[in-house]
Amino acid sequence: MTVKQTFTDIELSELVDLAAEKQAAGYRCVNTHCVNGVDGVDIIYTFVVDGGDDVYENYRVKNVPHKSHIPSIQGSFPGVFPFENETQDLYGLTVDGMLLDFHFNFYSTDMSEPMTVITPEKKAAMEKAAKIAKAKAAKAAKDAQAKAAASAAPTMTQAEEGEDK
Amino acid sequence: MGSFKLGKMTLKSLFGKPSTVLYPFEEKPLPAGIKGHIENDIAACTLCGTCSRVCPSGALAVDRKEGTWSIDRFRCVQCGSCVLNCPVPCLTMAPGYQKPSRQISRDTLEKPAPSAEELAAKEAAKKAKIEAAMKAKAAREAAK
Amino acid sequence: MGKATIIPFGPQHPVLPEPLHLDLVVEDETVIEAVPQIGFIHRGLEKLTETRDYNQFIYIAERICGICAVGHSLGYAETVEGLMGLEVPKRASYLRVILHEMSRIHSHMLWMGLAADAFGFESLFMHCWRLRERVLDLFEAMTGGRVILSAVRVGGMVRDQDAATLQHVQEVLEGIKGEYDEICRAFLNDASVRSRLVGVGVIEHDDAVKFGMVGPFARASNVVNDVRCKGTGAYAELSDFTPITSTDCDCFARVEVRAKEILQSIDIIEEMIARIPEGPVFEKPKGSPSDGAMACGALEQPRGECYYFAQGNGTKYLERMRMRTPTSMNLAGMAAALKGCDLADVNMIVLTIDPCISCTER
Repeated sequence: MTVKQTFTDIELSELVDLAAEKQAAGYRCVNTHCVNGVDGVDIIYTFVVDGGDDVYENYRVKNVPHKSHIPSIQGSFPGVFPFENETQDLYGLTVDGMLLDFHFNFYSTDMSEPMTVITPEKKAAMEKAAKIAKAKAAKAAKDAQAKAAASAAPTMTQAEEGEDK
Repeated sequence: MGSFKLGKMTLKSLFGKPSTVLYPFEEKPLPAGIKGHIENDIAACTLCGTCSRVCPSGALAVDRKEGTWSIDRFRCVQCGSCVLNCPVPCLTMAPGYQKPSRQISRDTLEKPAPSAEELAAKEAAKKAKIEAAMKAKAAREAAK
Repeated sequence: MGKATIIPFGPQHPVLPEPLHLDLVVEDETVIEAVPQIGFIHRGLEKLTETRDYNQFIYIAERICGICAVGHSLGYAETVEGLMGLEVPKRASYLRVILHEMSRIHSHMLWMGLAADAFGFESLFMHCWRLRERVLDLFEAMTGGRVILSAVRVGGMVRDQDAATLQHVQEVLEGIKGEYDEICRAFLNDASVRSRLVGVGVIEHDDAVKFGMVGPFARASNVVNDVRCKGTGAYAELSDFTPITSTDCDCFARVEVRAKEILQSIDIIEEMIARIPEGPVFEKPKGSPSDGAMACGALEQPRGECYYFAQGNGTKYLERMRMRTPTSMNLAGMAAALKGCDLADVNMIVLTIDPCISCTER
């Protein structure tokens, strides 16, 4: 089994205040990373306080548009500079207000924002998954319709029986 | 100055046997189950292709039509996934790593062509199956 | 007042086990500021989840780093099992802890050898690595590999170990304990070693907490954070476990913490071997991680707390796999420790954070 964990969704505007609150409460920032999606990038921040409940609290900011700006939490947690520079280099989001800013040169990669590139295999896999999901939803809708029709029919026959009696 | 802290160990190294072996003149005895290279018992292999699907580095290639099983030993990372997932099982991990070489090569094994007795046995089995099926059909018609 | 010069340190340097670049702003042999830069070994391994399914990816996770190989495969497997809701048999979790603690012993011995080499004590370096060879021979007997073991898979272990092998493990570790005592005395009591380590690279407790440092680097500054206390896997079954800390906050304290952790690991392994239950060691995972499911995990690797995150997308490929290694958190602490030290102490301080840059950059 793994550690105790929670996942919560927050807004980008709440981020800096949340970081300041956690730092005042004695938490430490464990990790910052991004997940690339079609609509935007999800950024996940994790905090934990040792010796307490030992719960890893993960906060997710959903769908930050590509190539936009996000605030830095290095004011409260100066140790996260590698992760924020990585966010800049690999995902193309500009982080404002960093204490140690490498200006897109932390990992000198051959192409900028490599993690936002959707490779042909990934695209094919995503389209296949979307097709399967659509078919499943259509089947579920059909089943629900059939069930509704079946439950409507017996009530009519019951009414007829009552009339005969 | 202080005392010589590593005195005991140093004396042991001076007068004892060295901890290393004179490779390549002597070789260390290898334990059982050490990793090395993959071997395939091609006569038993059914060419199902499971090994090539689970290989994380894409070293294996199975061609059902040609009847060949091939491995790129330089790509193999000796993880043992193919050995674990082989349904027959015909794959084993034998000791001995691939020696360095100047060219990349693939090792290909071809499934041997079935011998005359095997072919005859297959034909006989097929005939028996068809006869049994016809008999069962006749029995069903009679029952009706 | 002297003029400030910038001296580049690394990425190729005899004392560094991994490529790391530091720009040292130096004034008359005193370092004023150090700016770290990494990126020489970035291989983009996290993007490979798109083409390797969750069973194959464990072999990539292992190969992120040679020293932390067992840790990464174990952490990855635990996180994916948490994502899919898979329960691992008890015997497998005990074997995993045994292998992981042996990996801690070998990693700390490797590090102590490198530290001895960094301050010039080459014979001590050779003796440390000679003892470490016995642990690598044990790995070879148990799993077939010396450094990259491929012994853990999602759902359990690849191979079971019989009682004779576990007995052999215990005997070898007892033998190591006897000789290790002498090495410890050379590290902790020798006057020349102490003159290189005591008072060098001090990071106070409050700074350690501010930078979020982890691992023996932080425990030497009296910050108690050890994931083994949080009770993951078979660590929850340990009868008692207290992390080893020190209040000295300098390089000597870090050496002391790691030296004592080896002895603590030997005790943990003996306890696990004595209490290991019988049973299967593998449970086949069924299906794939569900769409949108997220799970995280943590593991106390030899260098500190390592955090893992997995997100599924309904197919057998994971949507995202994140491995956050302890060295990435310690980089800020290292840059702070380098402020105000002598130029000759730079390599000692860089080495005492136990940098594993290939894990940091994946």
